[in-house]
Amino acid sequence: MADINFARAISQALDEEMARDEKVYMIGEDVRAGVFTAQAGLVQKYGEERVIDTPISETAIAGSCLGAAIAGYRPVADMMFDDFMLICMDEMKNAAQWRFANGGFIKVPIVYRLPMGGYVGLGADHSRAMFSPVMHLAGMKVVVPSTPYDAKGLLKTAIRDDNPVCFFEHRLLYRTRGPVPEEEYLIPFGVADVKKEGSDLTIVALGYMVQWAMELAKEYEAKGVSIEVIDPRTLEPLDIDTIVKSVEKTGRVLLVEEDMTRCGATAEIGMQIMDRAFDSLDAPILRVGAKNFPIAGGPMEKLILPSKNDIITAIDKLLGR
Amino acid sequence: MKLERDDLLKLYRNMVLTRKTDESIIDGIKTGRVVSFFHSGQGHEATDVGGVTFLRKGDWAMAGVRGHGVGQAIAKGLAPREFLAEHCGKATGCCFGWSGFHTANLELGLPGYWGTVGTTFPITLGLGIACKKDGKGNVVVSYFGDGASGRGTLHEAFNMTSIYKLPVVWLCENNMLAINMPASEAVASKDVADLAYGYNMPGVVVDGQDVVAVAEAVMIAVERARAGDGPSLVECKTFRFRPHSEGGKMIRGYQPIPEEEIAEWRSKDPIVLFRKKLIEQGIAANVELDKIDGDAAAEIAVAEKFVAESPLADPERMFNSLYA
Amino acid sequence: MSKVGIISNPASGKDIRRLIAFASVMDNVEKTNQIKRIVMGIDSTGVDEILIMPDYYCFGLRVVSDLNSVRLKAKISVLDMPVTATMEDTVNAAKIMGEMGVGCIVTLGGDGTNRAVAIGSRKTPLVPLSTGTNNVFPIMVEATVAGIAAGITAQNILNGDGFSYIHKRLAIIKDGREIGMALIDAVVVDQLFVSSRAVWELPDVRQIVCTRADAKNIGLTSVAGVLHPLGAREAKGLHLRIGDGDLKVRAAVLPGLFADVGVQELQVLDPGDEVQVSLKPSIIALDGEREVAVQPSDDVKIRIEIDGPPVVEIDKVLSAAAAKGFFKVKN
Repeated sequence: MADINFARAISQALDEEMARDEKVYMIGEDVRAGVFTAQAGLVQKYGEERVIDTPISETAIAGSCLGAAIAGYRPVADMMFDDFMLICMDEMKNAAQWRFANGGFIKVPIVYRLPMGGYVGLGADHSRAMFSPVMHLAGMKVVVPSTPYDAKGLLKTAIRDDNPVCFFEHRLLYRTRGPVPEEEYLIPFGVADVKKEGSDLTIVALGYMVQWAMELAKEYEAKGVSIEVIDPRTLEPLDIDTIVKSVEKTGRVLLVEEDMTRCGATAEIGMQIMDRAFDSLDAPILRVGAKNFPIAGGPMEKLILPSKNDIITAIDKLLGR
Repeated sequence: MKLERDDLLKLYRNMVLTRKTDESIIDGIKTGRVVSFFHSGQGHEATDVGGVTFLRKGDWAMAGVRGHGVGQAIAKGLAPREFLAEHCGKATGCCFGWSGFHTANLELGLPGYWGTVGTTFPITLGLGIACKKDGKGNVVVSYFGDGASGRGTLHEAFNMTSIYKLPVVWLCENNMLAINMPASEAVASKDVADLAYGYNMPGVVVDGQDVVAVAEAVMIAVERARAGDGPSLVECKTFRFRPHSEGGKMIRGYQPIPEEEIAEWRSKDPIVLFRKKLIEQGIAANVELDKIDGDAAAEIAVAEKFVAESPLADPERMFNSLYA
Repeated sequence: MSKVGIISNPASGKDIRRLIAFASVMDNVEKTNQIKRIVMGIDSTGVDEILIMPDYYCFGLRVVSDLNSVRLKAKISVLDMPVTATMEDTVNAAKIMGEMGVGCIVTLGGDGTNRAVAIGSRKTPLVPLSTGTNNVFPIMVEATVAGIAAGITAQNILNGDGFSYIHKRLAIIKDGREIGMALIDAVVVDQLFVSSRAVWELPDVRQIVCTRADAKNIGLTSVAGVLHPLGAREAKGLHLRIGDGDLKVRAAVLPGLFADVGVQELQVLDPGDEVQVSLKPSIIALDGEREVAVQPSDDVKIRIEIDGPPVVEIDKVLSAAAAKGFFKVKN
């Protein structure tokens, strides 16, 4: 098992799937060069016909994927920033709904790769984590990987899925490293990963926040607190069973995401826990996320985005410390 | 392409069948058979049918909003009963009855319908990318109206089909009204065809009430696209005989359109005009055309009965359709 | 009171020839610009009134509005008439301008536009400006200069004749009655419909009757032009029978589009001569546009006449005006 970074894992997944199926192609702005270097070398290998560079036309990129998918192709669109997907939300909504609204017999295999996230100081226009808007598009699958291993296995599954998939890639994860097997593997959607087992408290974290949850869980471990960390990995489909099982064991749950808490993905997860495991809760569900503000630029962004301290405060509160 | 007698009669038949299907839906709204709304395409038959009838298998016909794509679907070979059934919420509809008013059939080259004006531009772009990748010489004929020409999606898709030299024919049905907004106030260039040159593609204007003119122009554009010469824009000047949506009124801006003007539009009924020409030029006799009319009416009557006897859409099938 | 009319066709330059060949494109923004230059040219000569045909693109209103800050000496207005957005507008405007005693009409369009003007008025001298490469009747000249020539003509500043000539025309006679006309050519094609109007499939062409033939023009008259040149002022016409035979010529039948055309017979016509349309049913294309449907029972002839509209000779007008000192400014 080699230790590779997240970006390399993504580009391996793209490479393998493009080699496996000639119907797979990439499209997006600056996709040949690759703004976040997650696809280095692919244009040289597969040519410009399969690594299609575009003008700055998000609407056309997103909508063209739908047209090509209807006609039997499997486009992988690089949207560069998930903030930009709001430009083409109509197209993504149509991609999500096309099958259902046209009789249920058309396959729409698309992957919208959505580089995302804060803590880089890129301001209100380039820093959002927008899971919940796409969770509102019935028919759209939503994937939020947190490790190189998950990124590769989930992206390969996403490309082979016959439905549109939003695939969120946090920019700070690109350089994180982790073990990835040499041999081929796929990770099914709808299977949460228990990143660390524990008995006192459950943290359900999304994307980059999984890294923080793991670091803090280790710190608390040293203090004698056993924290279980769950990474749902896919928000649609959502593996609520694994989360419920954990909550039943620990009785306390903290939900952590980078998006605004208002109507965020964790609001949905929290409500589902209430439905399924209310009687197991020993304390109210707590959430940590961004304040309900646009993301400030530069160093001020940390006043808006969730911090490790916010998580520590919430853990302590849940544990009554 | 030179149109032979059979081709001309096919155009006539497709137009008549389109009109009669359209009329059946309107009747269905009045009588309660139809479960959804309807944006009648009456007046547009020459463009709807003329641009699609001579496409081949493998070519895509992307309808715009008007008529819910009835003319394009019929010209591509969809049975009217499937269109009617869909509008009546029946399981025998072309989308199994829960879409309300959509038309889709991949075998026939109908990629699906969408009611959001201008949505079709980027989808067409994607179909064009697919056709070019396939390398089989297939094309996309994509319909839109003067109203849709206001969408930004047009710009992105026009630009990209041109830079990638995709096999796409953009077909504008300019009926001078976007719901009630007159094109004279909404389209700066007046002729939508004028937009084409900014995108480095040819743009031409034809009489959208003349089915042969439409077929001729579109097929030239299609051959050009098949040959790898890229997209073009054919603007068809046409008229909308009925309100934007059934039950509405004929309004321009916020004033009623004068009766005399509507009568003037209706005097350019593409079916009546074509029938007259077929007879004048000695291509078909009255009796022969009457038979086509009668056959179409009979087909619709049979279709209506079929739809009436069809089961309602299947909820289980619907709920199993979200994901592939 | 001296008046000049301006007729510009917003639909010219948009037909199917852009798809089948490489016909030039002039959009309506440039036509609007040209009309402004025509207006400035006319105004510079001291004409009292300028009248512009109304149309769906609203050239007239745009020009009047855009020239708002320019102090024109002439009164400028848009004709008060209904707009149908068809060729009828041009016919109607030319008729009204003729009746109003306009001394000259500047036309902006192709052969078809000028044909429509001639249907409406055959007395008023024309300064025809071309909006494309596929024309014979109108010429390519800077619009400002055309305006000057029109202004001088309308005011009758030059004495004597020789500053214009009467253009020939072809009358289409059906059962003894004139049903249409052409200024340049009438072409019989083996087709059934007017449809998209242009003529490009040479195997369908059977007869060409033309008033002019010049190898430096393109279009179907160029077939005659390379065999038997015929000037605009010569009192003759030509009739060609097209089809397989010994004689074949290569001609530019559309901009950038060549065809080898077989000519079976070439006949020189005198004014009043009639050519029988031998193919029925068929379509007659007038000045490049399929226009008249000939039905099996019709008896249709094409007759050449020298009674078309007067055409202003811009070069002669300007040099004569210069010689007369018209452009000198008094201190």
